[in-house]
Amino acid sequence: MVKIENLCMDIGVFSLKNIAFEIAKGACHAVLGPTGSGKTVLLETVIGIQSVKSGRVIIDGRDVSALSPATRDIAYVPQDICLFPHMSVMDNIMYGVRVRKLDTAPLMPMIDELIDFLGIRPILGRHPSGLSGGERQRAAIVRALAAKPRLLILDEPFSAIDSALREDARRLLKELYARHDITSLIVTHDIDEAYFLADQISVLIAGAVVQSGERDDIYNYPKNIAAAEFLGVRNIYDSAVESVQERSLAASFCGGYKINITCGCAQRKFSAGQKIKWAIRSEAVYILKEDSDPAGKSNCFDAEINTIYTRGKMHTVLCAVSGGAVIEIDIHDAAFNKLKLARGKKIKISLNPDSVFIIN
Amino acid sequence: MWSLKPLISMSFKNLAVMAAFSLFIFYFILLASLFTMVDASKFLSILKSERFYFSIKISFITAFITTVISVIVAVPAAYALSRTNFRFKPAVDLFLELPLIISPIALGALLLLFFNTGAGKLIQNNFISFVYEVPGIIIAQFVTSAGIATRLIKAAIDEISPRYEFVARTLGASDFKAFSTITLPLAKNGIIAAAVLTFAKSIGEFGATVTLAGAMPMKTETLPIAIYLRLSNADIEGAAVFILTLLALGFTVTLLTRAFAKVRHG
Repeated sequence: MVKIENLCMDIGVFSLKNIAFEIAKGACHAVLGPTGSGKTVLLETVIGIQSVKSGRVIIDGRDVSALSPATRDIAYVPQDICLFPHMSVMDNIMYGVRVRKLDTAPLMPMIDELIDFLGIRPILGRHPSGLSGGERQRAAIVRALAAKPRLLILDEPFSAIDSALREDARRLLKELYARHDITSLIVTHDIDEAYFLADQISVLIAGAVVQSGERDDIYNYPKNIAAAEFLGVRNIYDSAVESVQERSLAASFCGGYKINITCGCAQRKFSAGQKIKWAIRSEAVYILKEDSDPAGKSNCFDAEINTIYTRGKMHTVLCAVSGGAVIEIDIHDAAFNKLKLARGKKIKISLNPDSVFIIN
Repeated sequence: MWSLKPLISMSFKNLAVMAAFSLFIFYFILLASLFTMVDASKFLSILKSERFYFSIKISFITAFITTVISVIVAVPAAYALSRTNFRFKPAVDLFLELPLIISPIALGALLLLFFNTGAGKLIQNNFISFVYEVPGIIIAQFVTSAGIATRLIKAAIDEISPRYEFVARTLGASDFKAFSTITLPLAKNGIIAAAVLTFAKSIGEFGATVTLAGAMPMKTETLPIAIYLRLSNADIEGAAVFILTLLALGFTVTLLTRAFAKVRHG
């Protein structure tokens, strides 16, 4: 178990503020944030390269905050991989074992298994300069795990790999985690990467964790505007509560429309007249068929398509709801063609109350 | 009648090449003129003379010792300047420029004045005598080259990502182990290049040496001092032979440095 407790540090004008999260044994935690949010500084603080101002880093019950990086039992794979260029891949792998003067014999079966699993046996005698990004990354992971660290830290793990090979690398790492019960902390700005690899996610923005929790909760219910915007929620609206029921509420929307929102403990949290922001992911907005009857369906609105962006087999449709608000909808190519969507077309859209969420 | 028209009509690239070639011609004429001063028999007789041999020997020995001391001091100093933040770092950094912004004769005078202070006399009387002695050559060469050596080695270390050391430390290496097993081997070519240049600069050092160690034949007569002494005695042929010797050394060192730089950058 790894615990980061109220970690604060200053570096120049930048500071990390009260960073706190836990990583269960064998779990992967992703710190997700935009460029400049302090992800790498956070890693360097956990590793021990930067000194903490206050707070603690606890690994398996041991407070390592004041220890040197060499004694923290944390392995680190930086963004630029950093295989030692003057050593062969095998010498890189054995570096930690040698400098710690560990007995090689008991570690070799595990190292051999890692070498074979990650497919780097043919390159063991080669130097890093002639290796591909993927080979270097796999070698660096074996090097990091060779001395059996308690925590593996990966900084932007796939940034040095060609996009075509990135998916294979992700799957391999995921399988490695499962086979070796590795406790891992990754930092990334890539939302897909974090959702694919991590069990829990912390969203780091401007040196502070704005939300931390289970992967699906973070995806489905960003708690605040900063997290929602970073996590790609495009449909965010200011509104006011009109009425509150036990597990739902109705809020105002443009053009006199009302929006129904499913919300546990609504009566305890909200009251009529209260200002709120509600949001919905663009893939959770549905376009109804022309002949479908909207009666009985919640949150149905008339809209007109303004703009269409196409990315391969996905389309993003921007449509104006009667009353002025613009809603963004992601739709697959098959549905897009079936509905014969085009700019200027009048459509009916539906927002599932369970997919609508309130943000702070 | 002279006209600027052909020059103006030339492309900028051609003008630039012409400027570079003019510089080459200028230096080449200077070098070629040396050969008009000396014939082969005189050249050989000077090469075989005891004074020439002494000058070469004293120059090489002092330059070698200076280079070793400079590198020993410059490597950790360069590492500190490259990798750490400490108090007065900007001041230390500024003082490394001293050999570049103050003439060697002024540096030599600084040393001479220092050895006339109480602390200087204490060192002179109880430890090593520098003024008008061979150790004076070494300290004069050191004072003019150590800052430059530090600057060059710092540039080599700056090129190496500090993350290599971070990784080594997370793998269990102490600060020194990470430095000695990772940064030092990676900076090796830069350090060698700095050492070669320090050696070359020390061989050619004149101003500080003549001020502190004096110009004494067969005692502190390094190659540049030998040139100075020969010119003082109107021995033009002798001076030309020593200049050619310095030039040969200088070109060898430059070519060696470039070879190391080429290895470094692939």
